[in-house]
Amino acid sequence: MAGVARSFGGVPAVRDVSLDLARGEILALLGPSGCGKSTLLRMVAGLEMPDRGAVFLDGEDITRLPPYRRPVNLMFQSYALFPHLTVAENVAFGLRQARRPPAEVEARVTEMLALVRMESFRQRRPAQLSGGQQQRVALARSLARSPKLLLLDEPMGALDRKLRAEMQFELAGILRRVGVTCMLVTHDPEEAMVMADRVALMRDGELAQVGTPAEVYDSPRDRFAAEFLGPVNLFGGTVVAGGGGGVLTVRVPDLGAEHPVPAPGPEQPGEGASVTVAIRPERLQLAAGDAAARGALAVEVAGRAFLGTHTVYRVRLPGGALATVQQPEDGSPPFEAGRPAYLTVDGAALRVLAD
Amino acid sequence: MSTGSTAAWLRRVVLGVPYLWLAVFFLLPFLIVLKISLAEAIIAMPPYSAVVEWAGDRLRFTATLENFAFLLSDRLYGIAYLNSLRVAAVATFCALVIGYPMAYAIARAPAELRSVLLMLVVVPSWTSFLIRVYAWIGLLAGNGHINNLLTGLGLVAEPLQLLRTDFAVYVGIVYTYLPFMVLPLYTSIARLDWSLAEAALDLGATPWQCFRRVILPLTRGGILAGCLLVFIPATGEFVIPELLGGADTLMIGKVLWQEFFNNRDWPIASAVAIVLLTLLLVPIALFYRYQMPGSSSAAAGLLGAAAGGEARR
Repeated sequence: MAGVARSFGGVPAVRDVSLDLARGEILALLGPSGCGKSTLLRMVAGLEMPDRGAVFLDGEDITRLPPYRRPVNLMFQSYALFPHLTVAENVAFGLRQARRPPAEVEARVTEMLALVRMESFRQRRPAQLSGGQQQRVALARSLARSPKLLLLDEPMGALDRKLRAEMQFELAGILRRVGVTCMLVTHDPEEAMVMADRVALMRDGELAQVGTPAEVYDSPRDRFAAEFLGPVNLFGGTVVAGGGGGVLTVRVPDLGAEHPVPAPGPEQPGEGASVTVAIRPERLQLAAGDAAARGALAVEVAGRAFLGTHTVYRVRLPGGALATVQQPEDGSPPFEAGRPAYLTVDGAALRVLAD
Repeated sequence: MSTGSTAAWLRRVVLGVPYLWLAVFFLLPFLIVLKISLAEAIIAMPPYSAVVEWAGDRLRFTATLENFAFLLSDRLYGIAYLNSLRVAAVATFCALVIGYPMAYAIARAPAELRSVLLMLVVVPSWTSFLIRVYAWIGLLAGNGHINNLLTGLGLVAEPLQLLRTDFAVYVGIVYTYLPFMVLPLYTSIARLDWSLAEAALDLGATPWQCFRRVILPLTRGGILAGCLLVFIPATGEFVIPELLGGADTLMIGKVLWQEFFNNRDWPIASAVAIVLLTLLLVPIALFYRYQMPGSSSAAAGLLGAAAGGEARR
């Protein structure tokens, strides 16, 4: 889509978004509620008309096409299963609209229900199904017409936490098996990272950053991206030397050293500029002692929380600032609160944020 | 007395009130009408024979089915019933065709406009029913507003005979009962999950197919409730055919009135009422039978009220 925009009563919901999807790709539109991701999705489905811009599918302009003429299907957040129809009739709905011969409809319904492992529920009504089962039927229904593009609006939004984690893998598995191009909307970074090949982070109706989950998580472009994808430590720093090859040397007083850091973008901050430097908590490491020689910082443990797979520590840096450290749980004795420890920084994981 | 038994006693009273109400204001009058329908007409005060009487040492029942047999023997009654059902059915259909788009438009209107539009549907019924029917006389009469407009525009040479026709009766019934159609329809359309309609469009249904295959079946409860709320009172309608209809407009409500007040034959009139009630029980029973799960229970409640009101007429 190119330069798509839409406002409601003068309030812009989506402004000037341009985005491309490759065939067979799963793209997640990620963002906080109200960032315009659902509106964007609905414009692709044809349920909203953009004020400006155009939506293309296989090179064809579908901007003004009504939803029932688009080879695009949407899986609704509420699933929107027809309560007066059975599971099989729900899945057959789109096929019957397309006036496919009954035998073909029947075969396709069976195929789709087998795909989502719901064959034995053919004659049930949606109200007789659990949330997870309804989701499978909704998926089967939206895939039945073999859409060129499948849209998923908060696919896990109506499921409880435990089921959500299971279904993320299963749903992504089904989508990859079918090979359908997908655009899914979610506010949950974990869901986006589990399911999608690429993440498009949105904020205030605009794209904040687009990239693979690893790119967006490891190299956030700005503070919003850094904080939205997960916990992050932010420190103030000063550029000491603008380097060649897109590498800056930044002095970070809190971390007590100068670090070479990749530049955030084409416009590099000049020498002496203050910047924000980010590092994920799992890229910081605590050690009991002996590490001072390798450039570790002497810190004081301010608090800790045991979370099973890892332990999160709050540590006080020499300059007085607090940092969060995520230490994998490997059976070594924990660091007690109030005791000194040594912090090593994985310098390669530091990032300068564009502000 | 323990608090538990007090609560149970209170509960029984609260639950009992509606039953008591029904017994006193519905069952009792119904039994009285039933009793009169089994009596013979006599010239006395009251003008019917006693069905149950104390004959010295025992109760004596003298019930007769003469009146019901008479309804069967005179074709007039059969024609009047059929005509009433026909008029009510046609009027109900017209009200549905007019009321559905209205209810749909109100339900789809912006929230701040919705209550205003609903008020506009309801407000006319704040004026007396009788005045509103008289107003239609003024509109439909030979020298009424509609004819004056038509002749004034040169569309017709002579004023049309609008008043005192079946057409006028239909207009009156549809006009009077339209709110009873619109309100339950509005309720069921407003409760509809619009993502279902969007899902239908997304799956390739044109707006018309979406309406027919999704919206219409899902608002069936509202359609049924609205139709019965119009059909039941329209069947027994007396005032509208009397004021707007012609001499040949034969409706059972009018027959009932004539039997009571012109012929002073209370037993026959009561028998007419009992048969009417029995006829109306059929659609009500069908409604409860085929009521979709989740269809408006408020509508069912309204319906009960309408049926009760009808029985009191």
